[in-house]
Amino acid sequence: MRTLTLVFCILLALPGWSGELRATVVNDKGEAVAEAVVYARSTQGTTAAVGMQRATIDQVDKEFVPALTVVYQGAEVSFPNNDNIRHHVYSFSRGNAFEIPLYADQAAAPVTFANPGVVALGCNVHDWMSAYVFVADTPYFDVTDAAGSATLTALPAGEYEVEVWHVSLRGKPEKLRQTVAIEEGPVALNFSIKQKRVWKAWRGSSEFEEGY
Amino acid sequence: MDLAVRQQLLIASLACLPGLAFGEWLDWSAEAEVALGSDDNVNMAVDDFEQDDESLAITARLGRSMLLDSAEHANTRLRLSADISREYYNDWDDLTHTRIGAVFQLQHKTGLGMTAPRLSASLSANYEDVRDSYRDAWHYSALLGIDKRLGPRLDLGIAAYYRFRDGEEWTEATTELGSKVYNSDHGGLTVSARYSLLPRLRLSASASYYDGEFDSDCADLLSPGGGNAYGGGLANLGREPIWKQFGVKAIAADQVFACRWLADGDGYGLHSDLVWSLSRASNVKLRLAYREIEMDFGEDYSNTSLGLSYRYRF
Repeated sequence: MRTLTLVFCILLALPGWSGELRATVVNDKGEAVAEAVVYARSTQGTTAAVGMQRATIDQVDKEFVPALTVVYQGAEVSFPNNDNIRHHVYSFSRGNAFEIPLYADQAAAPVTFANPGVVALGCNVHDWMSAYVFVADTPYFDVTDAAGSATLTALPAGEYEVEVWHVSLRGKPEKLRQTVAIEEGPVALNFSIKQKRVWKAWRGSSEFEEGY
Repeated sequence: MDLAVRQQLLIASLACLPGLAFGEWLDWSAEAEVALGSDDNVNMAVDDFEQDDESLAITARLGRSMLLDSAEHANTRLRLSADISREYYNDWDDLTHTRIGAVFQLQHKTGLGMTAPRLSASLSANYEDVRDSYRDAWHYSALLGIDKRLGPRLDLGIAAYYRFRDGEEWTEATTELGSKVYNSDHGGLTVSARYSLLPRLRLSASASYYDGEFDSDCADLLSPGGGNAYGGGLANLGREPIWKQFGVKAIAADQVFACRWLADGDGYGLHSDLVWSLSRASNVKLRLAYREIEMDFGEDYSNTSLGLSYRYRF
């Protein structure tokens, strides 16, 4: 009897059926695209409650690590500095502009990314340092692996608009939008994107030839 | 100032630099470079008297940077470096030399972001000890420049500079002009561009204008009177003082190329580098340069030089 009660309580605690979205992203040559953000928005506006998110973008050997971070809007991102030189992190991106003046070790306070969009990061001491924060307006997202695959889990049943963003994406994510119905079980989606070359400022091999 | 005293001052000033306490020192940086070069006019002579040669240079550099600003902003940087190099010439062995020098450079970024213009000022001094000791000289230079990135791939710059060479007084001064042909100065303006062809391949190009004093080979002056450009020596100058009409500032017998003089002139130079970054610590550079100088009395000479170098940062 106690076992039956426990099972009943667990069933009560479970949400409605949730599904899974398996997306594959390739470029126009058919090559897998890694580090693409796949995100799904419910067309019914249903979104799971999400607690405060935190992420970390490190600075190692005068580079941001990782080069791409995806967070849900409102997340706090900290920028520890693991180099033995100070960095000066900034972004001009609309809605999420910020500046952390010269610092070593741990930055004073994490940065809150309140608005959805792509945030391009830079270091004012080392111009070649660049990284991106993708601030999603939905908690349902994943980043593709080396095989170009991403899996969005725990999607409540319903209809979703799914888009893809990549730092090299030519065009807007809206143009890639696909609408899909999520029910019990996995759903597969394929995306083909056009890419452009992304340039970073030159990082020289010689300290004596390089300025900033 | 005595040569030994200047060398000691140079070394002492470098040794004292780490003791400065008005900023934050960054890591030391050390690197080595091996370069092969070719020049079609090492004697800087007019056509028909040009001598070409190849050279091998080995250079070691040590330097350090300091952030000069307050704790919150990193817009100004002081960079100090010292280098020593030895360059061997293949045919004209007397041009083989050792060079030791130091550079003091200030850089200031005028704002936040990659595209903020960068101002720079530098002073350098180095001593060149040439196998043909008449060519021993101190070289000084000052430079003021501004650079701006137009994007991650393209960087433009403009710089004005002044160079002064403090040469030796030659013992064979046979004219009232004196023989300090290596005692000269000139200024100039350089515009430059750097463009990333590929993420690890960058092309740099610059064009310069020069104005001031230049030394060059005057073997052609000896030729009409003596009949033998490299055998006449200064005796020909005594018989045929053509140089008096030329506004020549100094003239002397050259132990290497027969005759050397110094005169006012101007000219231009074109320079390009193709740098292939092999890693974060090494690169290979291909260099092509052309320079043309026209003396005020009408003669001109040009150099085309080609170089290939490998640089490694420790």
